Amino acid sequence: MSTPPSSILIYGICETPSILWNNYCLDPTVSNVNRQFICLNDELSTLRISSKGWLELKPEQLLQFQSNNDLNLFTKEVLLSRVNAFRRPIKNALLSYFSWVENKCLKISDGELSKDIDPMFAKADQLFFSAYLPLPHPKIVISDQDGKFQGVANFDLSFCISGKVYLITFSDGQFIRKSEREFRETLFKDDDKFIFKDLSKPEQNNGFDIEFINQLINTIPSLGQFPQLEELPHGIYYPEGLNINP
Amino acid sequence: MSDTLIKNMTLLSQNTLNGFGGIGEGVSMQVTHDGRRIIWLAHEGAPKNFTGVDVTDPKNTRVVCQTELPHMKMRSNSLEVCGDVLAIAYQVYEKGLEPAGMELFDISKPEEPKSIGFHSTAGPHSRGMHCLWFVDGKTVHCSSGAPNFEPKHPRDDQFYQILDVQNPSKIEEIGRWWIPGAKVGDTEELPPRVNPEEGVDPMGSDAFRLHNVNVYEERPDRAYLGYIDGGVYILDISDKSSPKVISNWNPHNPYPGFSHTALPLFNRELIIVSDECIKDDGADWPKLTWILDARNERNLVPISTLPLPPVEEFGLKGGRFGSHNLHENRPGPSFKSEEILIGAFFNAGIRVYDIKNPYQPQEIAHFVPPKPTNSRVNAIQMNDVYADENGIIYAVDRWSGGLYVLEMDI
Repeated sequence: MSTPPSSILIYGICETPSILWNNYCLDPTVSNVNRQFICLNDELSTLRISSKGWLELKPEQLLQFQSNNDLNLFTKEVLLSRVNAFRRPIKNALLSYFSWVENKCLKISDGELSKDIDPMFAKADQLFFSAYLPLPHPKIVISDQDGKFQGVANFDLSFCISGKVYLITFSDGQFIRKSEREFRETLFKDDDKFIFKDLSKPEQNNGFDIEFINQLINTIPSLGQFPQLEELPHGIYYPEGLNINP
Repeated sequence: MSDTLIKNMTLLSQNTLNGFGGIGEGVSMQVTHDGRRIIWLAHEGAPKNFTGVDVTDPKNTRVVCQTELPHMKMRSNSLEVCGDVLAIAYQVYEKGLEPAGMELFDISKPEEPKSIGFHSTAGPHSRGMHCLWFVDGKTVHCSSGAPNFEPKHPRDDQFYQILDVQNPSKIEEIGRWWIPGAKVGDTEELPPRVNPEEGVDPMGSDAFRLHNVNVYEERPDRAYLGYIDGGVYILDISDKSSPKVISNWNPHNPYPGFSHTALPLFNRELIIVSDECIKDDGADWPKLTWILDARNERNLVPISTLPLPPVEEFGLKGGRFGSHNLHENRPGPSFKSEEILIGAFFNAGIRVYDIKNPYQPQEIAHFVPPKPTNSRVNAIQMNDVYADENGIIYAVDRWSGGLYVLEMDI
């Protein structure tokens, strides 16, 4: 291997990240965003629920949905299915985030918030698609100078916004292994793309933990600006053969 | 220590406790007002009651206090420290003997423990208390007999009791629960006994009695019980005067009995269950530590067990071989992790596991010292373990090795 490819952010349930890394090294031309990982290269900018790649929706799947709300529910279910069964705080985080996004969408739709949004694209069930994509269980591969897999730095939740990668943990004061500490140090060294924060673990609270959301917004102030797009909003379906950039 | 088996750990020191190095199942840490760290140890048997060891410098520990039991027909076995109060269990070898029950000590001056309360559970059918849990400063959850409890079988004498200790001079029992069918007068039938032994020796192996009970601030309405041959019980204790069964999980039989500790990992929705090896030379192998999927607390599902070293190597090495006590993530100056488990495995020493993937737990560190001098068996018998928030492990031998202080490198 001559030049190792840029690292990847694996998300969702993954027991053996070296398999994905080695496959990626064999074919680094794979989509920048796919159903298992995100390439952390210079093209990485912002990931929204509507971004292409993380959800490969087929035409026949599309037929089963009656409304945008059905699609919203589907995307939430897909993301929740990527949460390890034994990580309740991450599931709680996603549920709280979705509740917050939906609430914000409703307020915008009802005209309570920004007036700057084109009314044509201000329906709550459409705005939902523009929300930033929460990535559960982000793992960032650490490799040596030859591209050989060394390990991963593990986190609990991630967002990619404007070229920054926000990495969140809910450590709850628990012990962190030496290897994990070292991988994180390696990752953060000389790279300001990553922004790390340890937050209090989200509680169940009937699907909405306001304290967690407030902490999250304090960490990622731009999180609430998702309706402000510089381009036309997009849904989650990308017809094959059409050259539409996410 | 050329015979020591060690991986990803460093032995910082050993203290044989003035020649009384047999320690039971009570290891708990106090941080004193002047910043010292004292590890308190309950002895396996008479003549010693409990010992306090200053471990502020873990490489240079020293005994600061060592107390005596009133007589030789009793043992203390279990203790917990909460703030400056130490609670210790008293169990007698013959039913009816005294003192049996629990004593509270003010240990604000570790060199001079002062008795501040006593609760007797002595009675004609009681051996007193075997294990206790005391982490909130208000309540002791324990396994004990009682003066007004007559078991149908003499080995089923110790059951779950909840004691209000807020006023140490007036300790009150505020709740109790036993497996239905254990008490004379119960109409229920007990399940078949697991590997029943003849006779009425209370030390026999088959029993439907409580060993450990754990209650945590994350779920103060739940008690997690290791009920020996009864398996694991989760109780709803929102009304402490009337505990109610949420669920029961029991691998015995076909497994060889003696559920010991049920350790809940709340963020993971897992429960770790250790059985206790109680026979020498691998006679009750395999004594396992189970990982249960507890996402539905009413339907506990075993998903894996912690890997043990080869029975060919350890089974006949001397003494017991297999699971026993776990570090229990208790509040205080205590190691907290829901991914790293630390356990005492008798002659297989202290073992550390990574359960990040609970379907495939991995051993990541171990420490197996050679047979301690004067031990009655031919191998170490690691009996209990405690780890502080800095990852320093305090491990104890059952017969003579005393306290081993270890540092993890994981």
